[in-house]
Amino acid sequence: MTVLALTGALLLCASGPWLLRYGWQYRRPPVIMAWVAMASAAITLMSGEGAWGLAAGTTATMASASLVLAHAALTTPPPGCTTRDRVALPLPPVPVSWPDACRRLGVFGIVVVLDLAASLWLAWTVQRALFRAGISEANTTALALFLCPLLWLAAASWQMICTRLAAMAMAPLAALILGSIVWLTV
Amino acid sequence: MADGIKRAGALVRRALSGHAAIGLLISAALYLVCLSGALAVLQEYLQRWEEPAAAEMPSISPIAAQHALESIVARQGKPTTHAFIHLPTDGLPRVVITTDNGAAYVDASGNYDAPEAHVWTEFVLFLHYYLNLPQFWGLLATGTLGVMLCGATVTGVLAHPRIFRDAFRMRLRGRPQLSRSDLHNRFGVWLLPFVAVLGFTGAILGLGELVFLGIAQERYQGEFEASYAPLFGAEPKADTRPAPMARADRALAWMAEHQPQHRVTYVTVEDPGTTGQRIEVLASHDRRLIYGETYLFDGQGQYLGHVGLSDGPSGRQAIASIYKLHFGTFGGAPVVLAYFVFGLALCAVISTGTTLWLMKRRSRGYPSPRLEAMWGAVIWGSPMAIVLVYWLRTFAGAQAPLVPVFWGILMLCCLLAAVRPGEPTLRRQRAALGCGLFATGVGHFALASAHPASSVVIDASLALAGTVLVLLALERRKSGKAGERKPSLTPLPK
Repeated sequence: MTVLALTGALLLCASGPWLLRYGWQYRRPPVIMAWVAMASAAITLMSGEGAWGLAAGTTATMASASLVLAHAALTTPPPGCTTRDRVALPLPPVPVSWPDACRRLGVFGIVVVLDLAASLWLAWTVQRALFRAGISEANTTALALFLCPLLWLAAASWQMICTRLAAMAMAPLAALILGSIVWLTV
Repeated sequence: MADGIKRAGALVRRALSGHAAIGLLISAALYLVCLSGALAVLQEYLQRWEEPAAAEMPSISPIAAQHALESIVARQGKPTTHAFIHLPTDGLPRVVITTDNGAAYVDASGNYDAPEAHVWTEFVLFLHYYLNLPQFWGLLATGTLGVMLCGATVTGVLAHPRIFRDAFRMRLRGRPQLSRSDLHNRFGVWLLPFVAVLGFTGAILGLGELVFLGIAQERYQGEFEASYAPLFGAEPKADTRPAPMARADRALAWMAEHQPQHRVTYVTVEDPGTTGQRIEVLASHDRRLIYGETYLFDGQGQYLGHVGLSDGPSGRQAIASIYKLHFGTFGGAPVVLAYFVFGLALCAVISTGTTLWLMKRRSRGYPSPRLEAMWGAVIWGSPMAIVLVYWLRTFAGAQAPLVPVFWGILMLCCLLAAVRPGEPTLRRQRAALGCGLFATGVGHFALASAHPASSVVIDASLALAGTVLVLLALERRKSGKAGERKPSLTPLPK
């Protein structure tokens, strides 16, 4: 990719947030242009420079967006009549609820300890199975390195919208069982 | 349809609750890691700033580099298992020879110049890597924080149904809760790729130890370093019979002749001074995310091959790419600067997240003045403590106990805040930090023996940031008690 093409693609990336801001809530064409500009720049950078190009383009977009936000912060006028935040009179302190404290401890145990163990176990068994199937060690090790945090993240994100401890425990249990099946069979 | 809306609302509520739970669990540690991470992005510039007197050069000849290696190892007079030559880069145009027995700067002729003692920069780096804990536990902690940061990002997006409608609202001069909410949400959304990449690569770097440990147990009888070999290359076979020092000069000359397009940044000599010694030359590749390619040479400087970080299996290339992505070193000074600003913005996101939770508690009638004061002490006290340990290092020298002093100051700030929550007001803390930053910028400029452009920019930025913080504190003082929050409502029904 030539320097000119690279510069052009990065400028397209940087123009995206400004075009979005220009059309924000009022004009549809600039918004469409913004998304087209950012998408085409991303494709150009990805095909021309690979992952480096995509990283550079994303950084340019975020830097440009930060400037748009700084501009918005400076130009948004202070409200003419500031109403204070609603502040209530202090209520009497709520007594410590031990069942609730235990529940929170349980959430911590599941989301941090159990999830880590389960995701590590599944990532390790998967890489072991693939290595035994003849995949190169560099690729299987790298896969395990990516898989471990990814599985943990998936489990934790799902658990954070669960309401019951039992439902939360399903994700690490499933990973532990799946990992054990893989370990026993391969 | 009504059911659908109700379910969506419930999902948003649960996501918000999960988002708050993650935030509260990790906010203080994550803030410290992100604050030190923002500084760690500038590590080369900070090292140069911390030690302004060391010899600098745009490049060094292979013969001078060889002379430097031999003379420093001879000067130390002790055997070493590794010797490293840091070659001049744009950020740090210095040559540093590092062995198991210490590190030293050399001049352009390869002669000893001064010991390397950038202990403050190292303190900041180790705070970021390990939170100053022992390496294994520290990496586990920061890796966990990386996963939780990604989790907070996912739940944050789920909890934000008006993500496009509010995309450009930034009412920083509005009511305190509104302004913090805008700052938290806008930065959180627009820096989403940065936060996600930072968290995920940090998680890989931190949790990687556990994965390598498992693989080492499985295949290498617990030999930890052997599990790195498929990705980063194997260690040479040891042959401890004495031999003349490895010919790094020949390896560097080979690189200049055969790989002139790649800049050599680092030379490693494994088992120097033994028959089994080997030279590894790390060269950076432009417009690639990999941290470089490792070229291998024997003790005589004969080329043996390369590890394949640039053209080997895709897994090897992928893992070699996470370092530049995490530290923002893939696009020169502009990207480094952008990462620094994004890092500070992430600190603001973390800070405002917990502040918003505390504000909401207060508005519901459950104020937590001690917790509020302690959170303020973490936010403003930790940068202040970093500034203070810099001055400790300046006046007490490289042997100063920076880690215990930093944590001691931070603990003291939190303790004071807990005991007397009304006393260290945010305005005073901001003003104190502003004064500290200003004094550091001016003081460093006055005391430094050399003023390279990057150090002048750092000094000027510190002075400017300090001035802005002090002016903001003074402005708030003028507005007087208008900002003080008094109960304006009767107790809300539970």
